[in-house]
Amino acid sequence: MTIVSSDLVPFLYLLPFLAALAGLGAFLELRCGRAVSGLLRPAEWSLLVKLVAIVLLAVILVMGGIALDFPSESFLYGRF
Amino acid sequence: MDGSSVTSATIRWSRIICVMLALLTAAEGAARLYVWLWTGKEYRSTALYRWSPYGLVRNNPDVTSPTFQIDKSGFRNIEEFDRLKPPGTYRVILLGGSVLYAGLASVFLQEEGRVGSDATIAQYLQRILAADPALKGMRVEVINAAVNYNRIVETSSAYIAEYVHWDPDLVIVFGSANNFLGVPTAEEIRLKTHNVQGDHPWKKEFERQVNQRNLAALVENALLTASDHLASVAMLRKLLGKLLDSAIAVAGRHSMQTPPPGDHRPASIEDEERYFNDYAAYADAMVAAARRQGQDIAFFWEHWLGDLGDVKPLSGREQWLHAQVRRAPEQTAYATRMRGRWVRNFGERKIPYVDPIDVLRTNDQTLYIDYLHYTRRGNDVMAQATYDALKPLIHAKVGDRERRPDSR
Repeated sequence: MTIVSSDLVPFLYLLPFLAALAGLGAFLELRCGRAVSGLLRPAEWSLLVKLVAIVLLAVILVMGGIALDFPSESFLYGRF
Repeated sequence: MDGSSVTSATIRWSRIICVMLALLTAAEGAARLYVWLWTGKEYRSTALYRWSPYGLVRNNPDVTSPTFQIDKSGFRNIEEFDRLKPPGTYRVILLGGSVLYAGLASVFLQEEGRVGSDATIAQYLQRILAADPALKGMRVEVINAAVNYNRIVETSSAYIAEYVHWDPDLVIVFGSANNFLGVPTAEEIRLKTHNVQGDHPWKKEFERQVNQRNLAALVENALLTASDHLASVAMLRKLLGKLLDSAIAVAGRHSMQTPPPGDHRPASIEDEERYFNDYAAYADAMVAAARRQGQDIAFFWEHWLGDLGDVKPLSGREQWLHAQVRRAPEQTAYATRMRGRWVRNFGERKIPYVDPIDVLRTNDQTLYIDYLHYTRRGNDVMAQATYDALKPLIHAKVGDRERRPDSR
């Protein structure tokens, strides 16, 4: 698969979002960091992160398997 | 109480779930805003295609894209069409692959931009027909039923099982390039795996997604379902897909695995004849169905830019493009031989066809946007070439309808 510059154009739109998210995170941390972190106990935060990681890992494993068995060069016009 | 000493009995699951939902909502809001800024439309789906029982695949009417607009029936049209043809209508259905769809390869003329759904061959042909005095007073419809990488296998089954019942007056079959891609080897012909003889790549995906009953298929289908409803999941899937494809491509470049041994000798002329017969059998089936239903049918030949170095007066930008996509002499020779068979086959059987070679020989404008697909101007020129070649057929049909108003 060849990635050309035009493929990256949509992701440029992500930059303002990432900047905005970082700004929002910094603002929340400064203004109500304790309130946010206080929503859950440390063990509950840890559990939440593990749950999200399990879901992400399952998705990556399945998509990785597809990318390996169905190489993108065979799908010039995209996969399903 | 110290967090580390919390037991499972004191874990507040409802809170955890609420926080997860809040995070998902925030991500979804951000993703939808991002899609809206990118496409100018509300998010519906990132899936370009959906499965069809007739001809494997259709375009997804719900796709959210800045340029690709698909109508409710999966056509590459902005206008909507009903299956029941309105009275007093001359209807043309165009079938084919990416040339008709106006797709785009990775090496293309960036300044041309993507061709929108208002500038494919179909829309130009509709304008030309609407201006034809012979069709005055008639409603003209030109439906673009192209799906990327449709071969004659998919095109013929889509037509015979579905589009024949849309009652077109004229059917034009594009997609020739997808049937005559690379030069076949003797082994490919022997094993019947060359182009139309082999499986379409999407068929393998169909088997995986639809027929497999395992955990991986379950997770994939859950992901696909979530993607169709949640922009955040769709964006995550798109990003992960690109990253994984890139990682595997890099790994492949450094792989020490050697290609499997095989017979790489080119196919003989007899083999090529056999292969052409396989193609022509599908074309014959379409012609038989069209004739039985009183519909006119014609075929269009798609030329590769890489074969036109000594044929077309290339524009400056086409010269640059041609240097990137020039084809090997044996590929050009193969395409020339297959085109000769194609022209002979339809000519001898009195089946109308459009070979735009004469237009290409004289037109020095930028008609190609990449190795095979046309620019907006190219689509306009090809629509005109199609009209010029088929005008007698169109006029004869219209004249016949005027003489027999009860006919379709």
